[in-house]
Amino acid sequence: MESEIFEEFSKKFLTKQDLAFCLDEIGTVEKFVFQKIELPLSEKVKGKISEDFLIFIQELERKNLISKNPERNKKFFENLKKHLLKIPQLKIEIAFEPKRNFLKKILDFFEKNFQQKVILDVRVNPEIVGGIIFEFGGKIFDFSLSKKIEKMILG
Amino acid sequence: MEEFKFYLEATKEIGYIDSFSHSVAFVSGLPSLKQEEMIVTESGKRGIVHGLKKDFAEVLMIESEDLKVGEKVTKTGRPFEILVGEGILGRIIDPVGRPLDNLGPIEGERKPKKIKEPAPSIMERKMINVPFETGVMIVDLFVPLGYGQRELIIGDAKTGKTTFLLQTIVSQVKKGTICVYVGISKKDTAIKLVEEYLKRKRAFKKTVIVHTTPDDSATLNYLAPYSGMAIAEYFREKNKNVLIIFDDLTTHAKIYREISLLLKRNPGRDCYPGEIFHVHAALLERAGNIKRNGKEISITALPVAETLENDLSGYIQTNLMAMTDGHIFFDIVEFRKGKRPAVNIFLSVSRVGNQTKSKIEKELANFLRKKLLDFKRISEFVKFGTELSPESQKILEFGKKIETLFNQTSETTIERETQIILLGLLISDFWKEKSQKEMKKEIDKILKASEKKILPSLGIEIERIKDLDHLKFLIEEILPTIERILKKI
Repeated sequence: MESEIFEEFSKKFLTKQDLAFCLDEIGTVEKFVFQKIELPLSEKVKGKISEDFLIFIQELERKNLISKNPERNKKFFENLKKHLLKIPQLKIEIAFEPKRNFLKKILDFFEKNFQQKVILDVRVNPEIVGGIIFEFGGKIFDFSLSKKIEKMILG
Repeated sequence: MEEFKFYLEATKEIGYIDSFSHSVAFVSGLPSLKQEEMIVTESGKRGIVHGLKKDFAEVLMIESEDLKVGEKVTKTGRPFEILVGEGILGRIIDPVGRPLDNLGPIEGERKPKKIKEPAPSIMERKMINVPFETGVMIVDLFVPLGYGQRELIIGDAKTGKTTFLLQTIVSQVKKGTICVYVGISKKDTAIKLVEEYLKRKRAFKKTVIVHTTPDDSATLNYLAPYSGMAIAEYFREKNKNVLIIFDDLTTHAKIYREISLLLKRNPGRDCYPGEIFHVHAALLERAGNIKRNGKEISITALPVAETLENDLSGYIQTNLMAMTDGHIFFDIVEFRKGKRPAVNIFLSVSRVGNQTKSKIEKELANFLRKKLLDFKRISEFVKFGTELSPESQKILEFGKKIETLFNQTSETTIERETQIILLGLLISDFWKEKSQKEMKKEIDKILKASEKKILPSLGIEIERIKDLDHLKFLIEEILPTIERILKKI
C-alpha cells in the first residue's frame, strides 16, 4: 500500500528541481511531526508547505496512512524520502530553455519505451547548437547538432 | 580534454566523480568498467580502477591536483600501461614513464606494457642453477644467490643496504645484466647519490631508475614497483637477464595501507589491509628463472625491508621473509662496531643460492663459518679478561684476519675468481705473520691488480677445484706471481 502511494506520488515530478523542492517540503513537515501531537499533521503544516503537498498529506490522513502517532509518521516520511531518492536520473543536455510540456514529452517517451520512472536532470548548453544529449545509467547518447556538424566537417 | 573526448566517443560511457580523498576518487556511472582499467577525467587526469562496488568504483588517481567533485569521467577500455623501450636505459623515470632527469624525452621506439601481468606459470619456471655475483665477498661466500632468486635485503636504516645493492648493480652490469632500481618514496638527493655512484662506476647506462618522492601521490608511489617489474619483464622478453631492486617494500606497504584506509577497508594487524601479503607476493612472484624460446632467462629480485633496532619480527618484514628465497640481514650492531658491509651471516639465509655454488665455495664457506663461530665464542671470553691459551689466541688471530678480509669498502666489487684467490691466500696462511694493517694493504693491491687484469688466474675452472687442499696447491703455484705484483704496485 505504502509503495503504491509513493509510486503515485513520484509521478508528479519531472525534474531534479521538482524533486529537490519536494524533499525540502518533506524536511519542513518532519520538523512538525513531534510538535503538538494532539493536532492533525495537516493542520500543523498548513501555510508552511505548498498547496499540492498539503492536499497529499490530507489524503494520507483520510486513508489513515498517517495518524497522530509521531513515530509512525516519521517513519512514513523517511521511507518516502528514500523512495524518491532512489528514482534514477536521466540527464539531458539541450541548447535552449525547455518548457514543461517539452520535458513531459521526453519523460513520457522514455517511460513508454523503457518502462522505468525517471527524473530529468536538465542542462542548457547552447554550444550543442541543437538536438539533445542523453545520459542514463552511465551510457551517453549524443544526438546533438554540434556533433553532426563536427562529423560533417571532419568527415 | 581531447583524450577524454576520444575515449568518450569510443566507449560511449560516462561517469562522475562523487567524492575524493587525497588521491582516491569514488566514481559513479560507467556501467562496464573493469578492475585495473584506466579512466580519464574531463580535465585529462588519469586514474586506475582499484575496486568495483555496487554503485561506484574506487579509483586511484595518478594526477589528483585540482580534482573536482562532479567532474566527468570516461573509461578507456585499457589497463594502465607504461611505455617501454631500449631508450629508457640510463634514464630516471617516474612510474608513468615520464623522464625525471631533465635530459629531454625518451628516444627510440617504445611499446606499451601492462604494469600488472600474471606471474610465469609453473611449467615455464626452471631451477635456479647459475650463481649470481654481488661482488661483495661476504655475501657471495656465505649467502650465495642465483639468477632468478628473490632475496630480501633487510636491516635498519643507514646500515649499508643501498650501498650493497649498488655494488651488486655494478657487478651485474659487468656481466651484461640489465638493472632496474625502484626507489619508492625516496628523496631526490638519495636518488642523485645512486645516480652519481652508478655513473662513476660506469653502470648507469645499463640501469633504469624508477623514482618517486614522498611528495608524489600515494598512487604513484604504489605503482612504482609494478612499473619497475613491467620494465624488467620487457627486457626479459628481449632475452636479457634482469636484476630488479625494490627500495623499499616496507615504505610501499605503508603507502598501500594509506590507500586502503582512504578506501575505508577494514584494517588488520598494524592497520595494514588483509591483502598486503598478496600484494607483495604477487609482485615478487613475477621474478624467477624461466625458460623461453629454449633459453633460460631470469629476473632476480632484491626487495628491501627496513627494520627498527634490528627487530626482524615486524609484520611486513616477516611477510617478506616468507615470500622470498632468503634474506641478507644488515646488522646495526655490527655496523656500529665498524664492520663493512654489516652483514650478519649467522642471521642471513639463502634458500636456493647454495645449489648454484661450486664444491670449493661450499667448503670454504663451511670452513670459515666454523672459524668465525669459534672466533665469536672466544671474543666473548676475552671481554671478561680471561687469559687465553695459545690455541685460543690462534683462533682469535685467524678470526680477525677473516674479518679484515671481509671488510670491503663501498667502492670495491670483487670478481668471483679474485674472491677465491683471496680466500685461498687466507687459508694458506699467507697473512699469518702479517699485521691486519699490512694485510689490508696487500688486499687492496691484489684488488687493484684484479681491476687492471694483471692478477694471475688459478688456471682451472672454479667448479673443478676439488677441495681446500687442492685450492692451497693452486695458490702455491701462483704465489710467486702474486708476491711480484705486491712488490710492484
